[in-house]
Amino acid sequence: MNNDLITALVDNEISDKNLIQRLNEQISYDSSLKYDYNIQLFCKKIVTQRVKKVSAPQHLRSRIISEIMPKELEPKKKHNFLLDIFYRPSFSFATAIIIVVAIILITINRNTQTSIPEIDLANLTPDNMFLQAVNNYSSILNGQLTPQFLSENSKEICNYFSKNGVNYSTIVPEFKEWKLLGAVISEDKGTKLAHHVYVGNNNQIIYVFQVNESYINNLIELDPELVNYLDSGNCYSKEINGNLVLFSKMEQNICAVIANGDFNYVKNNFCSLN
Amino acid sequence: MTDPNTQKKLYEDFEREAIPHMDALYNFAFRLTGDSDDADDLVQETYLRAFRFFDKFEQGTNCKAWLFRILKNTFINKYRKDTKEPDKVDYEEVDNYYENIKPSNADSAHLEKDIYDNLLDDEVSEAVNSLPEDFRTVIILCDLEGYTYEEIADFIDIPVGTVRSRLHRARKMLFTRLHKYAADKGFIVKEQK
Repeated sequence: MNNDLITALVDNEISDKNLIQRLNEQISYDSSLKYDYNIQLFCKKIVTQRVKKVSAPQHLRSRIISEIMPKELEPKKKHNFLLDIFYRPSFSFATAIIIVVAIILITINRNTQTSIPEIDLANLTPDNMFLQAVNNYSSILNGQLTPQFLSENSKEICNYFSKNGVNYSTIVPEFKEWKLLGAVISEDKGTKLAHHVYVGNNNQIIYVFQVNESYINNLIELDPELVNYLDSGNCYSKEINGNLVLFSKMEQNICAVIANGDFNYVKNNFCSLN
Repeated sequence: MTDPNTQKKLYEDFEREAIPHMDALYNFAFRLTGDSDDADDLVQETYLRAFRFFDKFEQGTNCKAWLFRILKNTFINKYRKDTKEPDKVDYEEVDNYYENIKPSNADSAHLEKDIYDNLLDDEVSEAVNSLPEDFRTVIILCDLEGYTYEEIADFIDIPVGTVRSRLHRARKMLFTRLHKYAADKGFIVKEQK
């Protein structure tokens, strides 16, 4: 018998039921054939389960599209207002003076955003990071959203993000009282986004959704006042449905943190990271 | 072709038909070249070439297979030009090793367990990447991408029977490499016949 047929059997590539039956019978009494069959099955399993697929990076996708997209379909470049006025000779000098004075006045009188923005959950759209984070947390608590990758190691989680298409650097801090549980990668309009989860004592679950700031209000919505508030170095927190919702900026990422349990500890941990 | 409307239509068709296969092509390119920068270049060149000839592509036929063929040919022309031909395999050596490690009772269960439990994911990937190109290709397309024999035959332009026999040998070869890794690390003891 042609030994290749056991490969076809492993791959479900034989439609003839009689042949399948004959092969199975032969495998059951021929130990050498059985060995070959098991090895074929094993190799298929180990490749399927242990070799990770890699996705095309976003920069490559953009590069290819920009190379082939016809000129008339390219998004029109916005005019740079400031440069435009400086290029108009009749306005250039006077405009320059006015702008310089205005900048000085603004700088002197600048108020950093200190008032806490009011976020009303009911008015948020599904594209909003705030609403997504709150909904994701409910799904985690209900068991509808479980980690795709389990690890207690922050480095492994960061590697998982970068190897699986998250195209921004991620921060996964470790804390004494909480253990990392794992991570999830979501996809929004073809862009991969990073989420990770910690667990603590007394069923405490801490969920972190981090997005590079360049995606904010391009890919994913977030109240501009809240963005300004975070940009000014503040940490935002609010209690919703008995859980703490916290927003902070960690390096170049905007992070949504949602937790039950010890709110002060959560605040101390995440608000000290920006 | 200079008519802007035709060009626009061509681009829109291409975007709908070809761009969604980029992840599969990239994964294949990455496994073929073993390097992310080379995979970037290979996929980019494949898409640029495909777009250049997209007006010749017969709509409704298998666009993915067409892209895979372009990628494979680009790889052969560009990355293999120094060696001119794929790696030669001493299959007799593989067969000897394979037969040599076969346990006397031909029961592979403990061998499989030792390999599966002890080797790291990276070591398994490395073993796949170390296979000669033709064998690596069928393993990736079948076991990693989940394509049928007929699709693979279409992608790389070989008969279905060749896909089957190549896969059979590729997996035997992969098993001997995994076994060698595990034996070198002391996870299994070679049972010499």
